[in-house]
Amino acid sequence: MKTSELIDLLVKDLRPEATLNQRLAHASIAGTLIAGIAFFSQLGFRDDIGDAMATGRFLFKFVVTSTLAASSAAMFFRMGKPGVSLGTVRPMLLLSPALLIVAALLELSVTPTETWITRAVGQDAQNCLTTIPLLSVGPLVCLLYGMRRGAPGNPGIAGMIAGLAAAGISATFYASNSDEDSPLFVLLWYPIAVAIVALAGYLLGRRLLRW
Amino acid sequence: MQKSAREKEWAEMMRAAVAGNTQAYRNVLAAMTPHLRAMARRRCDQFGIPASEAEDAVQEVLLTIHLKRGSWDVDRPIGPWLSTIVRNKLIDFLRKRGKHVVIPIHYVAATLEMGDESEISDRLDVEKILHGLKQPQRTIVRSISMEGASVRETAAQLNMSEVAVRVSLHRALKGLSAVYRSDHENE
Repeated sequence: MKTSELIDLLVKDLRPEATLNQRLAHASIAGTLIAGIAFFSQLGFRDDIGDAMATGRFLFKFVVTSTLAASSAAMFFRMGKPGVSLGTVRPMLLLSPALLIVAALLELSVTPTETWITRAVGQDAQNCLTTIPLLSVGPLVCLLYGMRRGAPGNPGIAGMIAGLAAAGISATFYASNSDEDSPLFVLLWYPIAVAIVALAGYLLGRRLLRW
Repeated sequence: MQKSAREKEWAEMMRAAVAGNTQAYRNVLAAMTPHLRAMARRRCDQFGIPASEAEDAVQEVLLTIHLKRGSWDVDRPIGPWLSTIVRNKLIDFLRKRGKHVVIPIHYVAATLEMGDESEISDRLDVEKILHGLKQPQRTIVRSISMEGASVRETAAQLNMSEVAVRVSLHRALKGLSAVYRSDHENE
């Protein structure tokens, strides 16, 4: 095929299409809706959500999880665009873990030593480790699908970042159901659940996001 | 023409193109091609690959530009986007031929400035590529690209709707891209 013929072919295939930003925005909304529907149909808020809303520990969980979702989504959006620098958004990924570590240190300083283990281990670890990955399936699939017209330089890493964003969304839902509010619990278990999703994202991204 | 002026012009045409202006699209692809060709030839030269194969790389880059055009933010300069795509595709292309290379991005950006208007023997193993496609994509590609038929004529000829031909053509283009990649995996 001559190059001029190929150009002909490409021109004939031209149609206006949604931009990558639009696609990814739609994917984020769809993924959040899917996770939300799954969450409210299967779990729902914890019973004492009204009282919980008045406590700093409960609310702080959402600061951590939504920061994770927002920072990784911002990174993911950029990763699909060749030539766009990640320099400014990459450090934002550290924000969520940093906030959590500070909160955990505060928790250690205001609670008696003998309660630390109980607070960290908690009663809900198994739910944490299953609910977050399961609720992440919808958002992760949507984000990876939304990226199909994108061109991430490193497909595996892009998939991993999509996994972090998906886990941030699902952890936000899970946090509103879980009775465990101590930052020690969050620091011990949430990262494991998030890492499972990030690993899945990495493996999927390596296969699906190549171009 | 200065690099920045040229990039501005390309960006303007590409903006019109992604909005659906086919003439602008044809113009911008045609304008980029000599630059892509110059760069591909330089690499082939450097790694002892026959210059005739450079055209494969050019076509692969054009195909990628087409399939990934949505990943260019129309508000950003087009240079870095294009350079990154070209670099990644050239690395793929060379790897496929057993050359392991690192191409610094500023190199690509710099060579994009140079033109090479010389005509070359277009080549790409048509039969190999077409064999990678299923029907009716194969017929559609043959009809539209080699026989120069329009989408409408092809639709009439194959007794398909225009939409079906468009969908099929688009799949074929994605298929072409996959053919390039599977080459890469097999070697």
